[in-house]
Amino acid sequence: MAEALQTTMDHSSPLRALLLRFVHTFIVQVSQTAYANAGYSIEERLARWLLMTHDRLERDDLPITHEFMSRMLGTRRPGVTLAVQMLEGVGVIRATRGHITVRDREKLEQIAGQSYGFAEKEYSNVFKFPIKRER
Amino acid sequence: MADLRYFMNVRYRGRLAPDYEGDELANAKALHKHALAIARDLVFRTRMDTIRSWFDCSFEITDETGKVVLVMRFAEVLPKFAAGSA
Repeated sequence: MAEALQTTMDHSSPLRALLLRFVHTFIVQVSQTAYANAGYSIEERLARWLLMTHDRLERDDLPITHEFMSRMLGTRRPGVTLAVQMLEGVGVIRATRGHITVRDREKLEQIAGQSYGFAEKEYSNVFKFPIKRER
Repeated sequence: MADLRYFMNVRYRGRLAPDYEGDELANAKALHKHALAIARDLVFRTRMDTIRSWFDCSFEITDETGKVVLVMRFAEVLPKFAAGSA
């Protein structure tokens, strides 16, 4: 499979350029994650992670557990549970067992602050296609 | 013998954050060790905007029947508290 892709890339410079663009945007996203982990609180990082998940799904109801979110954020599950309760308390999400529903995306972006947005802007610039959902 | 599921609810300044997922552990001794490890990570490595002091937090751990089986203040991660509670 990898060999077939390699052969196709050797014969198609547009495909190679497209995949390299993807590598570039992925590196930007990973760098942004490192930046968020170093300087932002659990609430801000959870808001960023929920926005990124929301961007990639065509729905507001996200089927995710606290355990999974704690692995993604590199923290302990009770920290996620407290952060979810905080975000629910200010009305930006609704949480039920195994599900988070995004209720106020704009406010979620305010909470995420500068931890969210840069990588998404880069993706839009490179692919001329927005990854960020408007609502 | 099968592990038991324990729910790591956290109380902060009177408000309870319920854990609906839980962790499987062998017995009460393993549970206390697990709770201490989590509290230690949160106290020393985790920054939250809403938690002004992790030492205002405590675990109220319940079993599958909902019975509280362990209450543990996060301050137990400090040596002086651990010695006092032994």
